[in-house]
Amino acid sequence: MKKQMKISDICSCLKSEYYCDIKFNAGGMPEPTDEKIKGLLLVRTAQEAGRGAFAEVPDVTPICKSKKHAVKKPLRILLIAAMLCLVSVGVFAATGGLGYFESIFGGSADSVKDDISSPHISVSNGARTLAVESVLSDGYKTDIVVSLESSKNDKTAKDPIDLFSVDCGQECGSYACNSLPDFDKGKKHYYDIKLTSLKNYISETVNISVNNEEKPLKVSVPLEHSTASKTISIDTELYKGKAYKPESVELSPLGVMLIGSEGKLSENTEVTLPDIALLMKDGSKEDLDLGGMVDFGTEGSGGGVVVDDGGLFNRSTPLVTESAWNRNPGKKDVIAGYFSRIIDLDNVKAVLVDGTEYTVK
Amino acid sequence: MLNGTCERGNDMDGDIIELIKNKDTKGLDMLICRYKKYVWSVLCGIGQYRLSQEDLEELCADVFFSVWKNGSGIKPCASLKPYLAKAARNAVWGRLRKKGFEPVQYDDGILTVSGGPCEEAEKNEMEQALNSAVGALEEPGREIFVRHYFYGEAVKAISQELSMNESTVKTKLFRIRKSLKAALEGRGFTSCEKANENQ
Repeated sequence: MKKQMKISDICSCLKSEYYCDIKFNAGGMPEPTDEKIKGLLLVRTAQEAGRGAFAEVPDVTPICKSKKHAVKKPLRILLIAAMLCLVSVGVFAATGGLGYFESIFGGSADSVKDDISSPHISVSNGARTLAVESVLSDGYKTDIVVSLESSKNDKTAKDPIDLFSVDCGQECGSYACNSLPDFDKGKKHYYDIKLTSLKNYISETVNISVNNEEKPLKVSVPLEHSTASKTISIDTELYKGKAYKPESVELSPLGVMLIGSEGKLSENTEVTLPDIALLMKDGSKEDLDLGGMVDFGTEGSGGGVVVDDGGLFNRSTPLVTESAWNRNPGKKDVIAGYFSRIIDLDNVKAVLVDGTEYTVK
Repeated sequence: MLNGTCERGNDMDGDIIELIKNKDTKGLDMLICRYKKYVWSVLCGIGQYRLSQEDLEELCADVFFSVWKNGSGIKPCASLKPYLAKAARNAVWGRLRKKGFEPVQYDDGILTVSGGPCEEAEKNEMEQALNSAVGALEEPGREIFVRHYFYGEAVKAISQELSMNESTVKTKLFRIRKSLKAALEGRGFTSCEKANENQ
């Protein structure tokens, strides 16, 4: 299986001369004082100390005039930090697999908590243990949370994308991997492996193996449970005589798929995709910007949905942040958009396709 | 000296690294004094409109903490600026992802072989190809590319920073992506587009 590297991934290896001297505007954000940063550093180091690195706690308290203060303050903060750590571990433990997906998708993950499966699969080769912690899939977009625990100190600080190989058959799409540092415990590290495909992978098996192990370390994850999805049939009569006809929209909490067909077009002919949006029950609208099918292949896409972030601050982020397509003139065209947030299908009233409203039942 | 004026000098980074390696907190104070403005500007440049002041302050502390923690791995003669720039970028990206944002909006995939013996060589080849392609870009294209794909700065922020129209920035990014893909394909890599085409 091919492993997907994004442009931003390979940009990590850019020569420093290209990025070091770029100047940024702080955009009116007032620069914190040195004391503020040192105070935060103290909390940060105390948190780290709570994880067993006490010997490395620096005394960065220029405000402390005597040794007495310098000792007392870190200990007090250490205690608070340790309590906070206990609370947060408790929350994650109580929420089970949901906690992982909340860290990936935010609070919207709650609406799919019943679709999260925890297969309890683990294998060990003596040196490391690989375990499948949680799985969430709609068949086309799958997130598999795995943990990797080493029996000794592991100093290979690898890029997560290089850690694993994923194989799910010839037609499997691509995958990416991100670490989930919030869940790390000592030598046990957590990762989110994201698979995207234009083929439905429910009832298939995904094989995940750890790279560069002396003894093989591999787990097989059967994808058995899918999130609920809705199919909306589009009135093709509205597109009579048009070069491209959208036929149906498949909607899941994780993404959207538009299936259509085109006539005798050459590969270089631009396909005009319909404007698709979700009409929510509260009257708001979420535009689904699937990009376009000008060229063959995959193209990132954008949007401009304004979402209220729990009253903290408004943010503007596209719902569809990634899309992929398979263009087959003469057959079916499939274009999939993968969501950056999870959508609660119960809150979707209708799908708007070029302004025509199709009720979601 | 800790709260006084910052010392400047070419050898200062070396001194800071040496002090941090010896776990001397004076090195951390010097680091903050010398680089806080730089780190703050990078963090704000990437995170503004998407992260709060509180978030950015925490991340600023995290960046300095990472130098403290990983100081032993930094070369004594190295300049700290590249390390700090990357650490700031990684810190903001981690926080953005936690909040449900994808840091880079127009992020196309390039395929590489998974797990095989040639993977490392392929990656090196890809790095060389990228650096020579970026080196060949003319300004302001190169700066736009680096701002968006290295730092993850939003198109809107780039357009304001460089006093350009948003659509001009998008068009330039589109063209650069296209030329980069062509350069990589010229070296035998397959873009996702071609891979899908062959399916």
